[in-house]
Amino acid sequence: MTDPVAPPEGLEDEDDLRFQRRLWRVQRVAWVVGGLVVMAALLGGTGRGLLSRGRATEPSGLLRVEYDRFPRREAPTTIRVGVAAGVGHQGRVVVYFDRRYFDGVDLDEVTPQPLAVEAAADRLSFVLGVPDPSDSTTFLFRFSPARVGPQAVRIGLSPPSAPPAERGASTGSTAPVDRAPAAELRFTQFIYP
Amino acid sequence: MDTVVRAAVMYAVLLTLFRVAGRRTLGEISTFDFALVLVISEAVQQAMVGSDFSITNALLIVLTLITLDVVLAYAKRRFQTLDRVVDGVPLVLVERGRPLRERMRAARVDEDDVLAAARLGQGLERMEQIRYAVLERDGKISVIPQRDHMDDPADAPSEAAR
Repeated sequence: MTDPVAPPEGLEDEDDLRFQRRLWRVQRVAWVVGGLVVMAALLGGTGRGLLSRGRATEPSGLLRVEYDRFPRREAPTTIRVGVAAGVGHQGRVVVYFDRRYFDGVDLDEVTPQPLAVEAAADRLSFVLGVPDPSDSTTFLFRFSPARVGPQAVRIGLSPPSAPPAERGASTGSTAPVDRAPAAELRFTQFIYP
Repeated sequence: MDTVVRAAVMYAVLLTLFRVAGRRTLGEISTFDFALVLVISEAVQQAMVGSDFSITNALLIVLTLITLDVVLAYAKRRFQTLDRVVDGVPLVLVERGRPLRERMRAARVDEDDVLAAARLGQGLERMEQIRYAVLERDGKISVIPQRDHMDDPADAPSEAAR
């Protein structure tokens, strides 16, 4: 295959077939690699797709999240937080995120809009309304990742503090048997540049 | 996933559009054609990039388009029908000094275009000096001069051009 080929006679410029063959081989390999990358991307290996679809459910089933395993920097990504039926206290639930998560991402939007956002040392809590506690609800958190690389996420449900207006007035005895348990989920996202 | 799909859709749409528009459309790029290409690329870019301005997205779009091009080139070699559909077939426009007007009209080429190609490529002056003029698959016009005209001492300029 690598037979030495004499340069064509009469041509001022000599060709280099051996070099050309090596170049062709490199090209072939590059095409195959490129094709594989495109295939992987089609499957979601670089974001949005089968491989990128992440799901997690808390063992008790009260909290479940759907997220992108491979979001991209500066591209919107959504974490869907589902809360089971019956969870909530006086028409509200509190979903919290690990505060460190917000070092790596910008929060663009929460749908529906939270009633309040409370900051604590280690977490950011979103007080969200659940008009019908007998039904499960999903909240959408839209982020734009700002950092690249693996990013740990911790999402949980925490028992809501009594709404400010009622604080101290009634001591919860009048409320129906609401459940406001604590539940937490952890997962990791990998953010592409 | 949607990055690859978006890029592939735009590739297919553009390929179809340019094929349907005809080969002379951008065969010889004029300044206006060049401006048109810029505007088209600007419009297409929105559809392909969407709201994702990441490096990954950009690289993936480029990689998808190039991969599709390589695959199409391979498929064209493999399947002749596809080759003809995508790249078209050569079309004879002038036969032994006689312009085939119907074909020229259909291909949106006029005699001036053929004469210009004859002057540029062969240094010919008149239609009857052309043996064959062919609209090639890439949109260029190739000209083969009449044999006898080379022996004609009156055609000194074309001799010099050779």
